[in-house]
Amino acid sequence: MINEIRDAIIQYLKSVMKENDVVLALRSSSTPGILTPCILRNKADLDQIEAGFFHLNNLAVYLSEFFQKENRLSTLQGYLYVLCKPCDTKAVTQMISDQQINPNKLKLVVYACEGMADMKKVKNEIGLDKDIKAIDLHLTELSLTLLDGSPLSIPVSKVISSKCLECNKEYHLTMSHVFVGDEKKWKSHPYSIATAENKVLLQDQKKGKDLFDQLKAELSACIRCNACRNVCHACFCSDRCIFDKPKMTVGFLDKEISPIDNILFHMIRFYHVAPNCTACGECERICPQGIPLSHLYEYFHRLMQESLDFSAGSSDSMRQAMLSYRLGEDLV
Amino acid sequence: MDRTNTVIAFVCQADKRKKLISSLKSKYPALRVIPVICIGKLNPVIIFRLLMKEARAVILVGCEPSDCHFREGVFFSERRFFLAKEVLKGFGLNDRLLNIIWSNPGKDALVLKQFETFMQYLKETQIEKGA
Repeated sequence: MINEIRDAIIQYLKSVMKENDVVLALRSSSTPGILTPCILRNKADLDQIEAGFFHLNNLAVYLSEFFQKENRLSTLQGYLYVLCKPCDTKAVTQMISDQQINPNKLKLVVYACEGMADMKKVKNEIGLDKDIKAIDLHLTELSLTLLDGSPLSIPVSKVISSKCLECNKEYHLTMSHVFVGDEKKWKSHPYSIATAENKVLLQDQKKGKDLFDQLKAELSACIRCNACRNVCHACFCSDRCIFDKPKMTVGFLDKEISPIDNILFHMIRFYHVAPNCTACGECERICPQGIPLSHLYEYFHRLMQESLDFSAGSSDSMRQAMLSYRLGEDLV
Repeated sequence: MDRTNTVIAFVCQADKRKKLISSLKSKYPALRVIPVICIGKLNPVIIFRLLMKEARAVILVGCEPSDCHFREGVFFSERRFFLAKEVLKGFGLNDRLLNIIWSNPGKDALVLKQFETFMQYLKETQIEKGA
């Protein structure tokens, strides 16, 4: 099933790709189960493309880099094709509405995603001290070969990402795109065990000092590597980021890594990102310390929807929530 | 000096506020009054840092949204400080420690009254670092 989709994507790209076109997609890497983003310029390279269960990256992040560095785009003669899961298209839409990217030279290739793996869950299943030699998907079973040669099989339902379990299979795009796969069939099988709307968040269960203490304990593991910032499509300040200039006017963050500084780091980051966050979950996936950042971004994503009636990634012509106002709003 | 006991007030420096600033300084010697051009230009990132590290509480005094000298400034800041308060709430901090007073210049008595109730609230609540 997954291979069918992959073949269909390659077939489609081969039929439309012209001489000057560029494809932004994923190919397999030396680490099993992890795909690497790649830029393909030749038709012959298209066979490298991988998609499906191990497509974890949100490739929208690379677009701002593509468009900010002028020399790259001005030399691009043809179109830029980007491989997207339907949930990644929200990020692209939000970046267009923030005027970070120009949709004229962009074409999205959206495919019928059947859910993606959570490599942290896989690691927990096999044990932290063991490593994977090979990994493969067979319908509903994930068959693994460990480094010592012993085979293992895990049902897919155990290692599927929690984000995919809440997927309502909706996406909204006005720009030019192609859906690879059967869209009707894809929409008729929602996982939807728990929808995002009626989800109970950490902030609903705990308040005040209990909440602060739990977050402090979780965030004290943060080593401030800035990976969550670099992988975020909403963090598009690139070289003008506040965390890169600690001696700007006020030293916002001390260089020492203390729990209070870590909380301050994430406070500032979520204050900046909250209006643009589409809750894609990349920051949690990339975190090397395994900090459950979903406690935070889900809260702010819901907050923007409920109190400001602003859903990031729903429209490409909407003014960002912090750059607009309504008369007579009595917020504070 | 115990830094966790300081209270910082950012006051919009509209024409008729000079009296208010001087009376605040004489009434609360421990209060640090920082005049700003427009409260809409204040970056909430500064407030986060103050609340986490240097100050017990932050008070903002700004003109009412429809009377801002810079026309739009306070409309934007209304949403911005709303989000700042929600960030504090989302991290389990007391969002009342960021007190925002909307008042037009010339209504000094009202502002002083609100300052008094807030100072009373600070006295009553326990000093807990970070909460």
